[in-house]
Amino acid sequence: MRAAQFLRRLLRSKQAVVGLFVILIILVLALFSAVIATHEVEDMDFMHIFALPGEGGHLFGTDDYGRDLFSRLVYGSRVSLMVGVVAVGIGSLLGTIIGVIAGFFGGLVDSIIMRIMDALLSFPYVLLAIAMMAVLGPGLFNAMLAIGIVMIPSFSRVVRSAVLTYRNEEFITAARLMGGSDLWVIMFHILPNIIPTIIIYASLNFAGAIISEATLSFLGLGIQPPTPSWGSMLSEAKNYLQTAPNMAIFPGIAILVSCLGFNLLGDGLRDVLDPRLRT
Amino acid sequence: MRKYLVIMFLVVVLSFSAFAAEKYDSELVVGTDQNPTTMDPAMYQDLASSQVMRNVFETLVAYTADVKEIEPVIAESWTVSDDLTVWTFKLRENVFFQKGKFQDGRNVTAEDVKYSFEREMEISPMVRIYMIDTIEVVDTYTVKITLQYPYAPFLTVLTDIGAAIVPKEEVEGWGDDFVLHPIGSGPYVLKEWVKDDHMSFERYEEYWGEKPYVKNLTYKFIPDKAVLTLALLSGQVDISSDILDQDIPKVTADPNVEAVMVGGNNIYAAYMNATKGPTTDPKLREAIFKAIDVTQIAKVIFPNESGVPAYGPIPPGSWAYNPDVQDFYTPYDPEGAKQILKDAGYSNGLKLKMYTSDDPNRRKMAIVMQSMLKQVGIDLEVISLEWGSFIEVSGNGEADIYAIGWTWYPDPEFFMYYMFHSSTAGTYGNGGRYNNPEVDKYIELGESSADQDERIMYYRKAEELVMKDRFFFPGYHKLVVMGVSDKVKGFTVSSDMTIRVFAPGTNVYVE
Amino acid sequence: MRKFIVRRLLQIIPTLFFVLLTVFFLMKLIPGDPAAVLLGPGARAQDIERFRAELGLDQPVFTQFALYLKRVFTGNFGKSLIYRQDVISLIVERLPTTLLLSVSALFIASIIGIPAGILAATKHDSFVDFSITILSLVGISVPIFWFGMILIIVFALQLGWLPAVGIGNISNGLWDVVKHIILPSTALGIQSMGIITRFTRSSMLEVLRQDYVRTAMAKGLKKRLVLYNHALRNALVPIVTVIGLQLGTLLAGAVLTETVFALPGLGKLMIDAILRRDFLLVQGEVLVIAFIYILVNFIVDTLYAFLNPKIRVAYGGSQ
Repeated sequence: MRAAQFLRRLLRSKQAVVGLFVILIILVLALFSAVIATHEVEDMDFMHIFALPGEGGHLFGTDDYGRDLFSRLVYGSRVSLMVGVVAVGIGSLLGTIIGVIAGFFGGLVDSIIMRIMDALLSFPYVLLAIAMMAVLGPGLFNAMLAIGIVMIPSFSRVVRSAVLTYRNEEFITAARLMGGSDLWVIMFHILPNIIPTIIIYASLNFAGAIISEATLSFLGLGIQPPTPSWGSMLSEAKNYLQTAPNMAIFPGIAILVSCLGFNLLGDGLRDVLDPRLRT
Repeated sequence: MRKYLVIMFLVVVLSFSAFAAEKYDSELVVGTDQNPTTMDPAMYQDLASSQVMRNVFETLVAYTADVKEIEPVIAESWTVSDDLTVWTFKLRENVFFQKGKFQDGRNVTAEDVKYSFEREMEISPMVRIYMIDTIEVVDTYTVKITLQYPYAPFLTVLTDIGAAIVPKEEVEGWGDDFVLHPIGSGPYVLKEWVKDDHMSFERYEEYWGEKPYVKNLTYKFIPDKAVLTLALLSGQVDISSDILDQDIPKVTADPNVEAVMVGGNNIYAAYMNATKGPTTDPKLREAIFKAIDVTQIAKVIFPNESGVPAYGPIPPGSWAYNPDVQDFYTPYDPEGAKQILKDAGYSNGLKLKMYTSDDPNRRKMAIVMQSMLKQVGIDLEVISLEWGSFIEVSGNGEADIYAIGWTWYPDPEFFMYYMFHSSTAGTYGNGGRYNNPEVDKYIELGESSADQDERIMYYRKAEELVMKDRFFFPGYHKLVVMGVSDKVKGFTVSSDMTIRVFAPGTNVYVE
Repeated sequence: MRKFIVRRLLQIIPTLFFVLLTVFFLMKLIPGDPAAVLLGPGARAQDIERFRAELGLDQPVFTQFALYLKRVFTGNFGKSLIYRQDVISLIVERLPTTLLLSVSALFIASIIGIPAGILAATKHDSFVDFSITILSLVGISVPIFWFGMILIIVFALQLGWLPAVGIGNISNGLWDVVKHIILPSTALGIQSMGIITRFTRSSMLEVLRQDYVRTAMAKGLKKRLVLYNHALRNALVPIVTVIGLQLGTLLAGAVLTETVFALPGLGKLMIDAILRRDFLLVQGEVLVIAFIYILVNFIVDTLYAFLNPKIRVAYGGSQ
């Protein structure tokens, strides 16, 4: 499928268009944070602690330090996007490698790999991330790493089953008979076919990564102050649900909308790239 | 007419006696934000457990509710040798254990004291009475305790529930299950314990001492403090262990409940590294003190004034608190800070790392400090860790600065020794590895002096030296804020955060 | 079929072994010495040392692992450091809360998700369909803990209809338990609700496209009758499977929900245990949760394979 054709089809999907639009907005927020934000994210306005939306020149109000919620929200988009890109990058890369190895070679290798993946999958997901953060120490990069690693088992499973559907296809057998090495067959015959699956799954995982970062920050294990992230903003908000519900509502909506965007895009991609999976 | 008078008289008499009876039928529900984990005095590590255990177990001596005086409980009287090493306790002869499966409510004797203390020293993971050398039973009701060294605050240590007197038969009879079937000499027996939810106690009717008014005593465990306050406002609990600063106005506005604040025995501070890194430079420390407006920290964390700025390590609730402590404090002077930094060659900026636990208040202190230090050109990186990782970093001497929180008995020894004596370097209390022989000397003098006024003098002297060395930047003292329903009478909020329903001088009842 | 079951059962053993291995070494890698964390700020160095020895932490790591493995095989998970009680008895104490939460979340997700999915399928490509599709995606995109917070703000703090935290007590009547579980199970169930809706919709659509349904329609049978007698019955098999698989996910998601709503369940016990480095409790609990998860998946897979023989072929992937 050529790029132009792909794009035309993608743009025909209502969901994908809405999703792309949302993602575009977040992208703009992240790239032009400095222009869009009305205040410095770290500036504490001690005269306006817990300002209501609109009060004292603060569009969404302020938090418990008197910091501007709108500006923090805008800057928070950077963290969410970065987490999405890096974590999904780690997860999909390693997940694909492991899934391809397991699916392509089969046998004992497959059994051992899949048992380990089963074990990781049967871990309560949040706990695995918490334990990993505790091991690695807090911080943005470690959070991205932990989220990416936690993604590997399910990713490798999906890739493996995609590989399995092609492994015994005639064109693979043919490529082998022509003397293609394993690596060659994988690179030029298997991978091109499973790329749509990888793209779809990655876009859906993007939303998951954003939620995971929020969850880790919510539990106090993610990003370090004073850098704002939507999750850390929620974490600070949880003590002030009654005093200042705006502290919880805005970042939550930001997470919700951006995840919705990536999920919509994922759905749209699925419709275009892999009609068999159509829902 | 006379008939009416008689009736009226009868009504008055009856209602009085009815009231007296009602008083003894009191039911009290205490809400706490922390969860007890054990009911075995030798095993506990947390305030929540000690809190509930006080209903079942008793100690030789105990604090009054205002945490100022130490009163006899199981002990009747005591004497101490001049050198503060030999402590002799005379026990009351009318103290009985509660009836249990393995003994039928026998007398508490000197043997029990010996057994209980030796058990604590042997099996407790955290020996609170470690300064004891030998315990000798002189006669049935007299016990002589010899310490390894002179120790003035020994009585304070004995008020700890870890030094509770337990019956050997029950402890050994139940074995590991003693935790679930605690038996002591206290006024209440444990009726039900649903972990993480509630615990209920019933008055022990054959209690040896004065009869407590409260018949049914329940503790509800509500970990979220905001929700705990809601439970107080809706009448689900009569006393709540803690009220968040932001919830104080709500409680004050309600006519049926009161938010009671008293000075707490705590200090929250930024401890700087004394052996490694940039903070070893006295100029830099002076600049840090000058750059930070400590009153602003308290204002941000406690807009409703449930905390006060700190100017020294000894909290205002302690009897050794120095009202003139500000005399040794380096006042806020950001311009001065900039000048010092410039003169000392830090004009190219400086990076420092500060570790804090994820406790919201301490985090806030760190973040406000970060913002203030930025104004003078110091880049403070704040790293907030969950407790387990934090306690490791704070002790290992790697952190430039760590946010210490310290709370213990009101005796200044438990602040000055554990945070500033060189022998505690490398523990959580003295993670800055502060070492000043002169400070050591005054603390040791304070430890071994029998005279309270003399002790006050020594500890204040040590405090002054600490503040002049500027390794310890005091942040705030948190007040103890408890919510108390109008119906609860005779209750005193204690500075040590213990909720005393029945204690020397205290017998709470509910109207 | 029997071969399939036996093979799946045998796979459980190595999986659990890897679970144990992973959690054991993760707990070793976490900074914060259990003895020091447990004894707290005022602990003296010699007490910490003594406690370490008592816990066996002074031995080489592999010896510790071998000893632990041996004990687990005899069913002895050790004693919790915080509670000083058997790990198993602590888990058994909390299990009902977590199960209640997960099952009620699943219940709420199903009673809303299935009808919504059917409705969307029957009104395919209409505005209703589009709205339901979007809403189900919203459900999937909501962070559980945030949704829980919002539910608390609205229904507990503002309206005061339902309690914000706690599990209630059956001795105060059934309603006491129900009113405590409504908010948390809604928060936990929202994602599953989205997933179940989407899945019901797609499998209904698939069935509705089948020839026999079209024939039935063409024969002039009432649309509703066709829908329920033919379409739904056939679509239900995969739907039930998805619901079953959700249970495993929900058990894991219960961790967060229990934290937000302060429910005394396994999740809260686990987070407390991790934060206080109660390693024996963490290890025991992870093993039990993993076992339940694997068991649920096994049962669902087996049922599905039984109902739909095609899947067995797909599972034969690893020869």
